[in-house]
Amino acid sequence: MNVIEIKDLTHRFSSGEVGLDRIDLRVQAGEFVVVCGPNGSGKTTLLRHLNGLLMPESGSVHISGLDVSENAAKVRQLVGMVFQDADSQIIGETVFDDVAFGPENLLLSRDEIHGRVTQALSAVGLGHLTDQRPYLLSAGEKRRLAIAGVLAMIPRVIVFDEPFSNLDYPGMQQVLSQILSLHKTGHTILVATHDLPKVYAYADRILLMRDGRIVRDGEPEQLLSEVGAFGVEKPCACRMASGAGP
Amino acid sequence: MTDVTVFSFQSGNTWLHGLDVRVKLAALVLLTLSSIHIPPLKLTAMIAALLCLIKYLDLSFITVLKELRFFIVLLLIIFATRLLSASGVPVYSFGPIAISLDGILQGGVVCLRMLLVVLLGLILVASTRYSEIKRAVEWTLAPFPFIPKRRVATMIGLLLRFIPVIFNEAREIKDAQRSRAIEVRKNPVFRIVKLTVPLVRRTFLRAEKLALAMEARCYREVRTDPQFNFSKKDGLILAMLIVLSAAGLVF
Repeated sequence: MNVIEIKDLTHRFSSGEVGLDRIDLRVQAGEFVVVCGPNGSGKTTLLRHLNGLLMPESGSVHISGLDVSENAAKVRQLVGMVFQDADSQIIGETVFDDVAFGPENLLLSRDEIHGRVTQALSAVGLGHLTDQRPYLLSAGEKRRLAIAGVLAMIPRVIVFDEPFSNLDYPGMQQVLSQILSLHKTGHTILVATHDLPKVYAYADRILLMRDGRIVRDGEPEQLLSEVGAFGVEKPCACRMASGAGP
Repeated sequence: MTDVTVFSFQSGNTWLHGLDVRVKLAALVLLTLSSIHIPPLKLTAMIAALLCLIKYLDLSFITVLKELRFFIVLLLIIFATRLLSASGVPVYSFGPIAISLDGILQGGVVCLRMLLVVLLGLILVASTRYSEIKRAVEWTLAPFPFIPKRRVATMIGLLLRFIPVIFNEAREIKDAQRSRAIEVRKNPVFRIVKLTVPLVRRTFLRAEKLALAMEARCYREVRTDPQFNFSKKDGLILAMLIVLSAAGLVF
């Protein structure tokens, strides 16, 4: 069953520049998709159409059969988005408050909010930091807090925009294992990154983007030899096998 | 990790944190109003009490002083202006400049009042979540039919949420400029412009990102707000505040 269906989606920025150019995409429930491409290729613009932060100018986006243009509020519950800059995603004054922000918007009861927040925080391993101020967390912890904020909405699809940027190695490992465990629990995962080597081994599918278009769509094994030509770093193992330079 | 301004919520379990936010707002208003009439000695005692509360909240005096340094400069300017403009019997004169006891008293009282209000604000912000302040603003505006209370409350709440962010942005910009020898430029206007322009730009960009993040998590004006917890203790403190303020105004 397709959880995401995009048909002929085009987006222009106010400057007139094309952000997305006739995108067609179907993603099945439970898939792990990596969207990669160089800066400015349209990855973030595409992701922002998935939960109605940007609306289609032409074409359509459907999530679980719901048209995003007509059901933005409902779709935002189904599609959780973890932004590139975790700092700008932090809204609450404590870790608990920040995770509670989404469920409060859904008008849930205090008891239910408390339950969802506790569950989300323990899922990302931040259960011991409920009263901590988010600004004092490390970069990896902030990213996990952002994930908890999304999990508390109980989404079906989770979209990550450059989840590994500005993270040290342990932080990157924590976030990656978080993404993988979310995938294991049945969530559909979309990861937009230009840092393919970190995730390609876990992906079911890779989308390569350039100039607002999906130029390649396939399994990692099929596409790895080509990614370099599209401005994406080739995984080290792949480079060693081919004997080529960086 | 980053430094966080003391003008932001500091999590804790003190009785100040547990106090009903409406009582805290009432304290802010009542004590500010009563400070207009009370004599300098009582004013000093009130400020001493507030400093004790700041210590109780575990805020560092050095950090508070550091963050209030520009405000202290402003107070000094106000003090100097009052000192020189007040009439009275001079206790010291230097050429055309005469300093009177009245001037010292007037300047001191004005500065103490302003300091009192700022310290009250600091205690309120440090011990109260912005969502609670937002809820209290909404509650206060409820009797006024033509004011969009939820929107006003959200704006105030976000403003409070933004204070530490703006402080951090300013600190980062200053550090970046210091690393490129801005201190060589002695013209303060040049330095202020060079700080303000990128700060405003970054603040707007940050606001835009925050708005997007809020929208992505289904933000709406009608939401599950924090509950008020008005207890006997709150009632007692409110009654004490009313009595003390009335006494301050009358005597």
